[in-house]
Amino acid sequence: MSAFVSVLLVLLAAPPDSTDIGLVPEGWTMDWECLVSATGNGVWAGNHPVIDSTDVDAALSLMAESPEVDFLVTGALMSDTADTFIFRRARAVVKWPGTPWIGTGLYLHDRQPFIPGLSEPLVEWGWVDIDSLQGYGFASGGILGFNGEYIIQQAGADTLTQLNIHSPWMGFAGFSYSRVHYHSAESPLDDNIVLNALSIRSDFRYFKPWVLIAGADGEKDRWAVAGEIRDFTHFNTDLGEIEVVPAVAFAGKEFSAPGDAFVPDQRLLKLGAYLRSVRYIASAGIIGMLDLGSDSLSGVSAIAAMVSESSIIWNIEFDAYADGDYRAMFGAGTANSFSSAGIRIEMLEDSTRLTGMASCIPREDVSAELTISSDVDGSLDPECGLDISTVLGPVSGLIGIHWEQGRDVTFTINLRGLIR
Amino acid sequence: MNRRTALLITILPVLVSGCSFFVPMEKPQEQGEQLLFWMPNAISVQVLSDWNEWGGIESAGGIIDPLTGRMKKQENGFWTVDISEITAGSYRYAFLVNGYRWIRDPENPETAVFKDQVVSVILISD
Repeated sequence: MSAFVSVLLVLLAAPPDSTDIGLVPEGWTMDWECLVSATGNGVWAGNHPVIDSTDVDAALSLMAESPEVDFLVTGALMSDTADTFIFRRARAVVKWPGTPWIGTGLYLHDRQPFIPGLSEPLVEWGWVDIDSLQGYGFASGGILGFNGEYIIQQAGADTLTQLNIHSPWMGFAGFSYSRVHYHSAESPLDDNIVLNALSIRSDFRYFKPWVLIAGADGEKDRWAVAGEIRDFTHFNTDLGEIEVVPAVAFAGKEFSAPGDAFVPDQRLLKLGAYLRSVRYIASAGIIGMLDLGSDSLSGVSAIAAMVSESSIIWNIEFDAYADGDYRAMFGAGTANSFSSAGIRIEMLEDSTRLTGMASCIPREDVSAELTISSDVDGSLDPECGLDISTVLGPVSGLIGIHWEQGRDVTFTINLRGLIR
Repeated sequence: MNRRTALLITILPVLVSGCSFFVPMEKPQEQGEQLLFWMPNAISVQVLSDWNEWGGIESAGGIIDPLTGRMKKQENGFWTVDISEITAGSYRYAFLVNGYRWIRDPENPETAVFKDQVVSVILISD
């Protein structure tokens, strides 16, 4: 901790332009920044507040840049890792002078696995704790517009490798290929994860198909396919254009991926209709889903939002599934430059909750928001919250007070900022 | 209070106020390759997404960079940010209002989930 603070003090004390004192070679620029977050949580016990926990986290980055080479080093100091300074990421990138998109680089401790799907990602951010990753990667890009990277990392005793290749748009199509291999040193073979994903987007003038194919090195029942057709059917209305999007998402019986894009053995057919208005502040969408494998994914989902001429904000969401689950939400509110107020009703299978909200801006950089909510079916379970937040340039702060029936009043204080 | 009463309480002020509340507001500007967000009483709005690692939620130890994806406030109550430089792909995103409150894009009817919250999905073509 003391070393971190020392480095920060030296950086803060340095003159704004270090080149004035001849430390930086000609043609280079150097910079640094530090993200800091301090949080305190507590309860109101008796007549005074009692702090339960405090967290102070910081991430310091040093950057150096020349026309040919970029360097970046980032370290983090987190309260939950016992004040240990963690080497977060480093990279050195060599560029073709004058063309920032042609270059090659070495990366350390960088890049969590992430593979986007068509809507939900196939592999999710945060699947592997970034603090457990140590490794290096190589990336190259720019030649004919292609770019790729290979990363090998240790996650504790396990090994994680990633390969990502992205093509440019080649006139009628483009693709992305990703491979993630998570090899566990101690677990049985079934706990290893091998995932290949190929995403192809194309343009056949009258429609644009997007296809995602995923699999595990040819293993039976470990595959998934999803696709949708864009820009195929449009209807013009007074409110705006409605696009109808047919889509499918199939998966093998044993397919698994650390994301929400697929569930095993799904045979899902989807038909969506989306209204996007160029002229008005309004949107709406309805999706019908039919799962040929089971009822769990079959259902209807609808969403609509609008701001009216009298500044009323409307919001409706509705989901209903063939197995009986449903959720509905209706909200309406008004807003002007200094205040807002609204009401929201949420209905689930076994409860209905009513929430009222009001906010005001006592100063141009301070917002105060009051929320009161309660069940309307018997038990009430009232809750009340007051959040006062401020944003001053690169610094934001929050004081939150929360009360719910049968519990002590709790509060949160957070200060977050970027120092550079 | 039963569900029907709660629903009536919610929509009654609207019904008695007249149908002009249902006429949508016109956008006062061309959207182009921008995200637009109408919230005249916000003091700060950021757009956080898969394309900017959610402002540091995953990459910088959970600390959201307060300048990442910062939107610019226009005089008419709209917040805008340019997305023309983002490479083609499918991305989830949401607005972070006043530094702490997450809101999906009300102008985008396509949604997904990020950290148990409903967020928006945008498909950016080449």
